[in-house]
Amino acid sequence: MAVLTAPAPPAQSDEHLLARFTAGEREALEELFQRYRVTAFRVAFRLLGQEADALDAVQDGFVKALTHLQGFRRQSSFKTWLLRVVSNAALDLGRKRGRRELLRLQGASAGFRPFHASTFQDPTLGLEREDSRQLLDEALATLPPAQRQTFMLHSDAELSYREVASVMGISIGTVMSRLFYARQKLRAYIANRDRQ
Amino acid sequence: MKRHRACNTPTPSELAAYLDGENNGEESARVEEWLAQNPELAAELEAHEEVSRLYQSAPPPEPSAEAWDGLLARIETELTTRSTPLGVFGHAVDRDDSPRPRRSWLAWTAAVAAGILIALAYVGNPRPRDLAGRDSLPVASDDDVNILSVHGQDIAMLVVGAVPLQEPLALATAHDVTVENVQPDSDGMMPQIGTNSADASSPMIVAPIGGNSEKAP
Repeated sequence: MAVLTAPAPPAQSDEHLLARFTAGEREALEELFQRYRVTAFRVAFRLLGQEADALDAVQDGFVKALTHLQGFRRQSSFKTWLLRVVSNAALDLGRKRGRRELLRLQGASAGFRPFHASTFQDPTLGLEREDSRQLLDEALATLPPAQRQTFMLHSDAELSYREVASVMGISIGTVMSRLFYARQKLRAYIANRDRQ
Repeated sequence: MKRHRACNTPTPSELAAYLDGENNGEESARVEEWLAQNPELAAELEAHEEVSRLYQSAPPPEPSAEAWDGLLARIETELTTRSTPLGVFGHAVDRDDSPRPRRSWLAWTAAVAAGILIALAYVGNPRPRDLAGRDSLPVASDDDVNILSVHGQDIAMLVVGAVPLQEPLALATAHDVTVENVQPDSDGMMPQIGTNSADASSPMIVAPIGGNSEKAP
């Protein structure tokens, strides 16, 4: 006998959830959190380099975004707004706590395995995911903050050029050129590690 | 990457957009034609694409379920104690729609205290815009800055390199100028016109460094 299950209700829009949150519904907060926690965490982690700091930045970001909804003019999506607040919170936290990631990376470099150019042909060959992540974190840390943030918002948060421009308050042209130079620097860093 | 001066050379922005599929058909075709003629740079661009793929294949490790639960709890706690819908109303609407016991007196006390603190901070500190007459703090020299790109509308506003002018620039001397009529400016200030005919080469109209030296009160 076929078992029929009721179709899942369509996901509520961010605007609807925000309206419910404004009305005091905790469940709306939970849904918003579930919806954006991973993206927000990735953005914060890429900027800060460690889980504890990233979680603090996500906490600061969610709290600030939801306590300053009057500043959210609905000209962009809530996701864009939230990520702007989270990334700013991460940058603030990074400045307050110092460049802790440099100490971590110095320790990581001591035990880093050689990186082989064959990885470029197939990222899944040779290099395990943890080593890839470690290498990329090191390479990311060498980028100027503005380039790093632009690259990470596009690649981790999967924001469009327009959305990245909105989050960072820059032009789309600036987004594109920063992405180009960020990839160029990352490529050069990875290739240099391969030669060592 | 070499810098080509040919008019068809794609800009870094166009190359990035090509990689991300953000170009229109005409732009993509032009980039592809150029890449076909510059294979070494096409290889470089392909390496950029590999970097992006590698990046996408290695996202940061996700926190544990306990970490997520703890984070949500901290967010809820912080929102409850602040002036938010969760805090001000003193209760949340549960699934069964029954309000929790009110703790509004705590929330209102906290809100009033926060308001007093904010008012004191505002009175004690000047507004960010009241900067007239304050000394500027140099935060970077031209050597510290690497300009990656400038939006078209901003080009005319951007000064690149060291300030070429180290002293006021004489735009005209007494010999060059005949004064017919002098009116006060919008601040009521009358410009000082040099009329020393003994020195016809002395500057009469001078552009000071940094704009007007006399600012409106």
